[in-house]
Amino acid sequence: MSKADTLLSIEGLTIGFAVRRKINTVVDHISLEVKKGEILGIVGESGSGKTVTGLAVMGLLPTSAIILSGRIHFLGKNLLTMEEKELRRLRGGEISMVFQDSMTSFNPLLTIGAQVEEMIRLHSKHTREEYRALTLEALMEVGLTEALEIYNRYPHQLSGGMRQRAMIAMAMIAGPKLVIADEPTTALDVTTQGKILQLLKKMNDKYGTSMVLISHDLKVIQSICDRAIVMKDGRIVESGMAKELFIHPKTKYTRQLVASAPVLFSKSNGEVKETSYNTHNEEQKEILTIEKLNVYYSEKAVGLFGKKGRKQVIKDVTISVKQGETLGIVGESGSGKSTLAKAIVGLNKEIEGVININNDDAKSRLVSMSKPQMVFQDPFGSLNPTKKIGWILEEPLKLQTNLSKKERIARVNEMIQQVGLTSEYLERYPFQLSGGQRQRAAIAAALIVKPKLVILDEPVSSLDVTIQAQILHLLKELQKKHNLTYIFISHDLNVIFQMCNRVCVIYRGEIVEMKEAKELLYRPQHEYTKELLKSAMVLKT
Amino acid sequence: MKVWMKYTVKKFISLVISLLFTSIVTFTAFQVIPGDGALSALGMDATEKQLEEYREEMGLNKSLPIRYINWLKDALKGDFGYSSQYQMKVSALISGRLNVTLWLAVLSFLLIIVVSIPIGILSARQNDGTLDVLITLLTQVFMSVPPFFLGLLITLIFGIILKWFTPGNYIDPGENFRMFIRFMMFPAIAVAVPKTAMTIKFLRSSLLREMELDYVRTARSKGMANISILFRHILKNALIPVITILAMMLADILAGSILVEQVFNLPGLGRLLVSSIANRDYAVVQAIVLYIASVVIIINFLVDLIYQWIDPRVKRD
Repeated sequence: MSKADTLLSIEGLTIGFAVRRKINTVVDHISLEVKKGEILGIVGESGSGKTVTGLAVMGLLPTSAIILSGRIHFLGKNLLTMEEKELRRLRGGEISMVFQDSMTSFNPLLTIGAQVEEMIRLHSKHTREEYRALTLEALMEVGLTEALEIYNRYPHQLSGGMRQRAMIAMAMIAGPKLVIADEPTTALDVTTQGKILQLLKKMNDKYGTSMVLISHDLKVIQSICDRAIVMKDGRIVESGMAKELFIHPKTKYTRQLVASAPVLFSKSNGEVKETSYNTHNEEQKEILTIEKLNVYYSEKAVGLFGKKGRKQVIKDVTISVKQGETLGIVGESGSGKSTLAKAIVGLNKEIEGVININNDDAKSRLVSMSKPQMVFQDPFGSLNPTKKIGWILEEPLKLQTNLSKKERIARVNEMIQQVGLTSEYLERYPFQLSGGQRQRAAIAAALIVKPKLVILDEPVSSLDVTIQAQILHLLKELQKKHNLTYIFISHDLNVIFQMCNRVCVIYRGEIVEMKEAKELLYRPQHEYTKELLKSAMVLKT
Repeated sequence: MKVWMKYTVKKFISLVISLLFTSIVTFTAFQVIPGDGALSALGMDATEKQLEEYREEMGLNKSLPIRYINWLKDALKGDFGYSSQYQMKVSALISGRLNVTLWLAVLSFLLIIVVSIPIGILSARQNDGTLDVLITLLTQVFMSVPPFFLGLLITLIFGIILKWFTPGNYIDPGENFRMFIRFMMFPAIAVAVPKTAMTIKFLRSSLLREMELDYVRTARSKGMANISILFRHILKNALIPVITILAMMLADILAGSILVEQVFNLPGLGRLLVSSIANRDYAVVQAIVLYIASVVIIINFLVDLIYQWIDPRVKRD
């Protein structure tokens, strides 16, 4: 490639974080180039240094980060030695950034219009009316057709997808040459994810803006990137054309990444892999039946004497779950899937309808040992941070059984080993564990009271793909061993198809479709299911 | 109707209801306190007939709700009864004292705001710099000094040594307003210093917390200068929790600071309250209790309005 084509070049960049007099290297001698008009993907798991690399280009590293060596050149100028004033002109004007979480990345107290407009105010001279007109135009361009209305809205009044569009409008409005998008779709639903990626691609085509797309998600990288780089532990493991790279990975790590990427879309030869099912027996007894369940949330009273409103979140849901099977519940955020889960374990009081657990054995319902247990998405938030893992595992035994101290400890030790950790971890606090280890501990805490039914609410959504695969594998193993029944909630179709025998699709609180997983994949009937499948497919080109 | 109007009306209705409720509770409480109103008004020498006539005249024989309504009617006209201690109308007595307390409150509150906001910002901007460390140290010291002791120090330094004012020589505002304000500045400083220190500390930590947030990084990614980010993005967000603290402080000052009034010999509400309690002058105590409760309720109402003005998320429902 000729020098003139290069927009951004990074040479031997090494970045460390100062931790208690020691320096932790998070980016280790990486070199890369971004050419004019191309989209470069950087894929890697959390901690791989991909985000730090992006922030380094912007000059937005946190103060604890130290650039140890290397150079970052943008159009031939070294960014690391540049004056702050000159850098500020580049930021936003020449290089701009799209962040992951559009809710927290906008100032909650200013209107969307004011915040997008601020970008051109900083980088060009116009009259007030022109600024406004340009902003409205930019909002229209990213597909916010009601631009005039959006302009005056505050961030919390927009949906995640709309906010992300506004963020892209903000990044593009000053006509930058390079846009760095750090996990721009991770916080979004699949249907919205596809649209946002297409929007980025459209901007790239139309204006020739180069892009660096940072993501942990192979599908995202594959969908719109020309070239891609795989990062692990601060190093570049592999790089190449995006189309080639993941079909014929050369290094072990990339192969592992591709392998742990969800089965449905790793069909390099155009064939959908068979998911490993538990043998599904028609005659198995039902462990849970739900009939005509309605769940409500009370809304704040309108006016001082107004009647308290009730919002229906779940409408007429009827489900039965057989022992030993895994029922998937899939839907977008806000569809009511978590509400349904909470109703089943009894955490939601405002319900109508019948929920029967173990209905063949009326007595056992009274025995708390068979109460359904739950595993949540965020193990950090759901494990008490001030207690050690051992205490956390033992507590439910203290509350629900008459076991002696000795028996409890034996059970705790057995459980921790079953989830693939050693007894040493019992002495640790949740924050001393990695995300995957924490989720293992959370699973152990759920299984310690020997439940028959476990409800898994997005149990792997916050984990990296390779860890995801391990946890899913663990769940399957435990299921086989203890003949567990799972209700598996996820927004991610890939995970659902890997785990579930039957799937029910929930949309706005109603079940729109419920059938065998394979049936659903090949013969979806409801429009919404088709859309879900389609948008999941769009990501793979 | 616009959302903000709806919100304001809603808050106003709840303000009126809270005030009514407070007045009912206060009134009832003072009726339940043992003691014969007629006897305490006429003295031990009064005959049974005189007492009966007095009760009839003052409506003391009527049932509690009727008496409350009569009292409320008078109160709304500004008539809170008669002070047995000072032999004058409660309304006239309080309004004189209130004047002093209000001026003290206004002066000290202005001082708190004018001093703490710039220093808080400076301290946060210099986070962990020499200036910041110095400011943090000083706020720590001033926070822990009780206002009356500060009042004694101020009297000693500015009154006795520097002779900038004559200690204890309170000047009535009707007499010489300029001299009144000049005198009031010193008790205002005594009241303001610990509260200013607290506000600085609070604002500083609130600013530092906000600086870590994602939207600040977004603003930096736009190429905005740090100082503009501070004033355009961070400050408003950081002030939200500070407003709550300031409102609590204002309510506290408006209730009268007995010790500072004592030190500077100010005829304020706090001292009136203490002497009224000591002399069982219930009409006065009742009026002051009602005043303090109303101040707190009204300030909360104002804070709600300020919040809705600053934070668009407040209007959500």
